[in-house]
Amino acid sequence: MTTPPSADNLIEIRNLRFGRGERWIFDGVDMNFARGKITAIMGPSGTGKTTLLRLIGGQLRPESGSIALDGQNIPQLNRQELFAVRRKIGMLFQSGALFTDLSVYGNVAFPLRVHTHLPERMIQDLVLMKLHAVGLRGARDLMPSELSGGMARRAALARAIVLDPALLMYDEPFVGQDPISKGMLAQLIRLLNETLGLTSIIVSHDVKETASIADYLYIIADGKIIGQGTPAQVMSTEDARVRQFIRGLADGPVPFHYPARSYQQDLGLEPVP
Amino acid sequence: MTAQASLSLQGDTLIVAGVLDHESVLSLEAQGATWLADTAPATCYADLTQVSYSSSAGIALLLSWLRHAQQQHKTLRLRPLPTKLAGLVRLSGLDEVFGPLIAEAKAPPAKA
Ligand SMILES: Nc1ncnc2c1ncn2[C@@H]1O[C@H](COP(=O)(O)OP(=O)(O)OP(=O)(O)O)[C@@H](O)[C@H]1O
Ligand SMILES: [Mg+2]
Repeated sequence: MTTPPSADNLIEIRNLRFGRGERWIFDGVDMNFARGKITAIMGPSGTGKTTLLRLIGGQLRPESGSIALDGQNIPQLNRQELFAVRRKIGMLFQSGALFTDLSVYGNVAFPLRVHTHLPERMIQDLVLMKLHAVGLRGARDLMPSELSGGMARRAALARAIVLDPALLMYDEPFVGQDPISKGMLAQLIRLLNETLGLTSIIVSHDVKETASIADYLYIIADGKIIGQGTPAQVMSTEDARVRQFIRGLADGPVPFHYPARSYQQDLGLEPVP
Repeated sequence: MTAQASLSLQGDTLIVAGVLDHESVLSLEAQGATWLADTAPATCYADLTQVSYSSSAGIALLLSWLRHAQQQHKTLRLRPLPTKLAGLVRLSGLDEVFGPLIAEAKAPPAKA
C-alpha cells in the first residue's frame, strides 16, 4: 500500500532497503514525515532507528528505494548538494557530541561560523537567543566538562537549532535524564517545533514522553514497520507485537536477542543431539 | 540560493519586505545602518509587516539596527511584528527588549 507523494510531507521514504552484513535493517519500508509535525520512531534496540536518521541525513546510502526531502532524492545527491541540504537539517545525536575544547558559546556559534558570513556581533545575538531558548544563556562560558548531562543535551539542542533548520532530528533525547528534565525537554521540543515552524523526527524508547508530544508514531522491528498512527491509535492497537513493545516487555513476539549462532557453537560445545 | 529581501523608505519608516534569512540580512543590515547614521530622524520606525518569512536572523537584524540607532542617539521603534517573528522574540526571551519599542500600527500615509 503506497501513499502518493504529497506537498504536506517534508520527507517521503519509499521502498527503502538497507542491509548490514547478511541482515536487512530495512526491508521495503514506506514512511511519511508531515511538514511542521513531530513524528516519532520507536522500536527495540538495534532495529535501525539511528541508521534511519543517518540515511535521511545522507551519511549512509540505501541499497534501493528513495528518500525525498522537499522533493530532492537524498541518496542521489552529490557531495555539494548534500552539503547544501544538510544546512537545512539539525541533528541532536544520541551521544550529545559537544566539542569538548570549545565553550558552550563556541559550540553553538560553530555552525554559524561554518555556514554563514554573518559578522561576529550578529553571531553573538543568535547564539544568545538560542541559549536563552534552552535556558542556558547564563552558562555560555562553561566548558562541556562543567555541564550536567541534561545541560549538555540542551546545549547540543541550541547548537542544532542555531541555523533555523527545516528539519530537526533527535536521537534518544530523553536518555539519562531524570523525570523532571525529561518533561521539560519534551515541552521544549514541542515549543521549538511550533515557534520555529520545524518538522521534527524523534527516535526514542521513552513511550510516555514521546507519545505526549508526537503527532504521529512509527514502530519498527525486524526491518519492517509493525505499527503506525497517532499516539492514541498506536496505544489502543490490538496488534500483539506493538502492544508488547508499548508495554515494554522483554520477551514476546519481538525478539530481545540480536540474531546469533547457536549458544553451543559460541561456547565451543558440541550441539546436543 | 539567494533569498529575496528588500528595504524601502516611507517618510520616517523603514519598510522591510521579503525573506529574512542568514544570507539576506547581511546587505539589509548595512543599508539600514547607513540610513540610521544619515537621514533617519531622531525617532524612526521599522515595519516588518511585509516580511513573508523570517528565520532568527531577522531578529538579529533588528538587534543590530537597535544598536546602530543607540549609537546615533536615535530611537528606532518597531511596528507590530508578524506572528512568526513575535514567536521568535518570545522564545528568545526578548520581550523585555522589544516590548517597549513596539509602536502602534499606523496606516501608511496617502501617496502625494
Ligand atoms: N557501522 C556499522 N557497521 C555494521 N553494523 C552496524 C553499524 N552501525 C550499526 N550497525 C548495526 O545495525 C543495526 C541497527 O543499528 P542502529 O544503531 O540503527 O540501531 P538502533 O535502533 O538505533 O538501536 P538503539 O535503540 O540501541 O540505539 C544494529 O544491529 C547494529 O549492530
Ligand atoms: Mg540508536
